[in-house]
Amino acid sequence: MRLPDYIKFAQTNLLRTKLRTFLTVLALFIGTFTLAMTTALGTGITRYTTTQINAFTQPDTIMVTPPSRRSTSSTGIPEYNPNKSTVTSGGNAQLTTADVDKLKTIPNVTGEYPSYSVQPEYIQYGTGKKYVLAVTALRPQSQLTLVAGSLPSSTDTAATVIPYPYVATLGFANSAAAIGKTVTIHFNGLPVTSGTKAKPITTVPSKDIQVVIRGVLADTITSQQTYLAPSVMEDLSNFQNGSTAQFYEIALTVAPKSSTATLNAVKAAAIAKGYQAETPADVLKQVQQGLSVVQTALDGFAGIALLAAMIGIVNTLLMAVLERTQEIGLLKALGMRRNGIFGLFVYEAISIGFWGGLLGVGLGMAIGPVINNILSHTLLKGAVGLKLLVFPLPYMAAIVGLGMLIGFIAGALPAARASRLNPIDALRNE
Amino acid sequence: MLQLKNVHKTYGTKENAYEALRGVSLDIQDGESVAIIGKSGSGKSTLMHIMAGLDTPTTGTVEIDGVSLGKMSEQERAIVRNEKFGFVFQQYFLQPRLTVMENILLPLTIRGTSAGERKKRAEELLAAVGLTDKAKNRATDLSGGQKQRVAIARALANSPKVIFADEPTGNLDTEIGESVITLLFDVHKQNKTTLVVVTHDEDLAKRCDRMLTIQDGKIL
Repeated sequence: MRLPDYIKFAQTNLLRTKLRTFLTVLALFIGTFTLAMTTALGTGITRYTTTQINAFTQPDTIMVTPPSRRSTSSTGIPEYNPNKSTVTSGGNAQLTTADVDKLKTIPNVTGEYPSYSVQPEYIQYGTGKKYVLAVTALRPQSQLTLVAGSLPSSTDTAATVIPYPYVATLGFANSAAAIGKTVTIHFNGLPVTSGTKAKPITTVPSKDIQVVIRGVLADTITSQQTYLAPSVMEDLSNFQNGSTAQFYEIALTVAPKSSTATLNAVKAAAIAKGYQAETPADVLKQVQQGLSVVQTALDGFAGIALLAAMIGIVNTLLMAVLERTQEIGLLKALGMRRNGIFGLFVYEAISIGFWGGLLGVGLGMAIGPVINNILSHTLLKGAVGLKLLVFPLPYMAAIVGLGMLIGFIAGALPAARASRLNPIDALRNE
Repeated sequence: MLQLKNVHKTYGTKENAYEALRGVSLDIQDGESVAIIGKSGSGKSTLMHIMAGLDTPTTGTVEIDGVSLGKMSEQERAIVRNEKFGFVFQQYFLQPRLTVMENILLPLTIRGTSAGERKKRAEELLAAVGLTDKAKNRATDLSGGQKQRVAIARALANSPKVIFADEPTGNLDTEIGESVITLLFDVHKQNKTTLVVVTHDEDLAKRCDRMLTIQDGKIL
């Protein structure tokens, strides 16, 4: 028999017992639909977190943190070393400018950007209300998603980039209206004690900086920082902390579009100097590992549904073989060979798998955008650009393929049974 | 062209053994029509099944055109059935979901003949059995006589050398049975096909060139 004949016969035979076929397809549909949805959810979340992580990690940047005594090395728990105490005045391991100088010497490093700990008091536009904020350094090669304006050069000391929620809060009509406007950010310094011992006078020096809004950040869950030029941050850090400034991390940049090998070499050099270091890829990997565990668990549920559906297919086909014993006998009498009979039933099972898969994926892809739409107006209103369900076509095709594979596996046993029937016995069967 | 030599067929084993055929030898010539008659349980159906390669003898040989069916694999026998034999059964055995045309073409579909060739052949066959207007009908919508005509057309589809008819009129009333017999003999003569009929029907048996009576597994 030719392939189109097999396919046609399979569809014809499936239509003989419409309800039974429908129920069998339905069982498989539940599995493939679940799988389509978990895949869509997994893909959506992975894509979203990737964008989020890219928003706060930068390419061509290696984040260096202080050495940890509790480093989880594969060689087990390290022995205590009294000379390697990590307890510093700050309580936690911190980095200092001395560390910056050490890291500077690593080949290929083009810049060192400590995470200056600067506490601003407020931000103010004109004579409007004052609002609290958090500031961070705008490193070169930062990949920030802006909704308005453009990313200023990291040497532009009079520039700032503000998070989207500040636009309305500070009283601008919209993001575009905020661009080019000057805002004031107020900082307090270390308290200074003067006067006499008996009558000490404590004064807190303060400092205002005037910065021009050059860009407005897209609204993301993770990034609510106001960006300032690194040199401004350094000045402010000195102002607030004096020369004893400590950082919990230092960002090392390499030339733009550096190879992974370069990044890894710098990372290795930093580790060799006794620090902990990670590339953006490391951060992404850690998060995605966690996500893939969740995804696997969800897929497991779909797998259980598919397994149940598979048993349903076996059952349906065993019944079909019984009912059609005479027909099988006739086909054999007319010269259909064993593999022909086998094919007849297997194609029927594969067809059930195909329809079940197509229905599951089809319905998933049909209601996915609706769910995305509803969620983006309700639960995930803050997360602009988050598509919770993403249906990549190759994956969806693979799910349909999986349905067909399940059909094939389920159909093999009944089909083999049918193919072994003796034509005479089959014809005599009344 | 069909030769049986000392064919025995035993069903079951040991004390349950039942010998359906006890040494049957016969020789059927090309283009001949042969009736096999006998009471039910005489072994006539078993004989036909063995001649047609649907069953294998316990001992003895069956040769078609000098080639032994017993030495063939199951697959090879299937090919012989598909290419050289046609079957007409008492119960018609039409596929209920298929149309008349699809039923008729079944042997060619199984063989893997191209759709274009099949269509051409279908027209000839439908005309030969007078069912051109029923081509698209479902097989289940036909009367008994029409069903048997479809079965005859199906048996002719692959231009077989031998047509085996197992009680072809068994489920039909006399008048319709008569017309089916006429059709069967017409195609037998026109196509010079060998015809082997298993029947209790005396009228049908008498129209054959030769009549073989079988009793207790032996030809009388």
